[in-house]
Amino acid sequence: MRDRILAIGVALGLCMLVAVHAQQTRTGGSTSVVALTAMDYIEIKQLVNRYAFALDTASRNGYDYADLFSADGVFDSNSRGRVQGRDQLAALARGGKKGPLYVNHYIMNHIIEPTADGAVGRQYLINISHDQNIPSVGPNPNQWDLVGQKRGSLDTVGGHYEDVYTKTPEGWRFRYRKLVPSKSGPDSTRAAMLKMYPVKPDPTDTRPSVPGGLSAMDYIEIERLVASYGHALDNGYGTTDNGEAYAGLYTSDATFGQSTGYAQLAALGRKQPQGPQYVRHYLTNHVIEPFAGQAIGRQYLVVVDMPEPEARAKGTPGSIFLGGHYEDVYQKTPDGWRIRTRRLFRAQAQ
Amino acid sequence: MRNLNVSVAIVTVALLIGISAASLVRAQQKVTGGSLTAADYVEIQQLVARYGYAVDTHADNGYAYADLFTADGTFGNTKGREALAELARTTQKERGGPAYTRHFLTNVIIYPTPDGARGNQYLMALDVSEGGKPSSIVHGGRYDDVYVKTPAGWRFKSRQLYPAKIGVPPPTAKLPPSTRR
Repeated sequence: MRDRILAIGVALGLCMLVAVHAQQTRTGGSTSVVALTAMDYIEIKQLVNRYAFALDTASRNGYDYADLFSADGVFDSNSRGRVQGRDQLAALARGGKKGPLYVNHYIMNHIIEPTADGAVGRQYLINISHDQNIPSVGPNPNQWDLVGQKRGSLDTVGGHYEDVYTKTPEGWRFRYRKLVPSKSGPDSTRAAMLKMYPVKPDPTDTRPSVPGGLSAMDYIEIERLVASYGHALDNGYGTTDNGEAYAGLYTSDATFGQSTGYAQLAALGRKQPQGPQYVRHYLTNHVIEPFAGQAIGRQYLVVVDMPEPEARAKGTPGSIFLGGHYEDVYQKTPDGWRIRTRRLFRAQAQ
Repeated sequence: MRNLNVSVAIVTVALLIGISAASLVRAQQKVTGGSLTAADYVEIQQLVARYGYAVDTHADNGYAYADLFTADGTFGNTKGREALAELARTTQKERGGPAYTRHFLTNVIIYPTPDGARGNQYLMALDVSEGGKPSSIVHGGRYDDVYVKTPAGWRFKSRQLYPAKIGVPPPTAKLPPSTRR
């Protein structure tokens, strides 16, 4: 009798726990959607960021690309139709221009909507081709004089991806991914917008789930550090001096290219074309990984010379100045995450 | 009778465990106080990421765009739900649609403030190729935002686009013409 009542009592207690938990995971309005944690959003974004690198480099003979998909995963496009199966997806990745330094797929505007059994999402895509043989500009070019040099162009490929994600034991994967080319005008066959849902709080928001791993907050701070790069370098966050803003992204002993330490990095920043309203360095596809208690990362860069308002009014387009990818080491300091080392690799096809 | 008392005690303890576990889970959501939680950052990132779709698709007759803002929200000099929806409907009036992509945003930075959050991004507005025409870069700039958390979630309280403009080169940076390339 006692045992039975004990069992009932414990069961009641557990039921309450489950009820509270369920209340948090079921989001308002719908009973079928399971809310995602910040780490789920981060991992799905990382999946998409890896996609660009895996496709443009065809690393591991295309299998890095194939392994972003679930076992039954499909990539769908107008040009190729449905591609399914690990070997078929790897073969797709090997096609066209490739190489360890090749960058072409710039992906932005990633929206994610939780579903009953995973998530769906969309992003914008623009393919950018960078010139291979850029003429030398001498040992110490005045960077202001180079603004507007055309060294690449947008491809005709652009539009948006429509994805279905599934959480496998190995992590989030594409179950379905479709490229929809950009097209003007109404189209009744397409759903217009995804919905926004609250993000579910989770212990891994501030604590890594494994020792030496990164918490959601670590990812978010490293994302912001790298997203700050253009703001600091191009416009000093909307101020008149970009030097200190730029050097402030790095640890005190950091290296970027030929410059090491705060003073040299601030001087490097001040040499670059700038202004309180200047924008030039666009970074995207940021892949972040825990590494030896710190973190490493890589991301695409495109430097764009935008038409100023007067030029735009006359229909003058912008131009591509430079493209490639950065490879970084990040270090957590008492002031937050900073860049420890950074290297730029210019875009190049093999 | 003694058995019953013990049973009541056990049930009570079990219930208390359940209740305290529940409040512990709730308390965890508030640990960060004045700053932003990971969930806040992700929700604001998602708000910003939706911006391009809302303006490019003209979804919901422009109201999908307007509803990214607070009731008194502003984009530049445009204020309020009706005006914002009208702005979205008439931006690229003949071209907007569910597969139209023009507003590409990146370099998304978000900061906590005492009232909510602020943030910035870069915009590149592109004419993506259609019907064999080449793609082109139309314009770009930097957004400056204020976000507030409403009962419906994070929204733009204000948003301003500063078009790209290069600064004035420092006099010492200009090389004499003879030493140029």
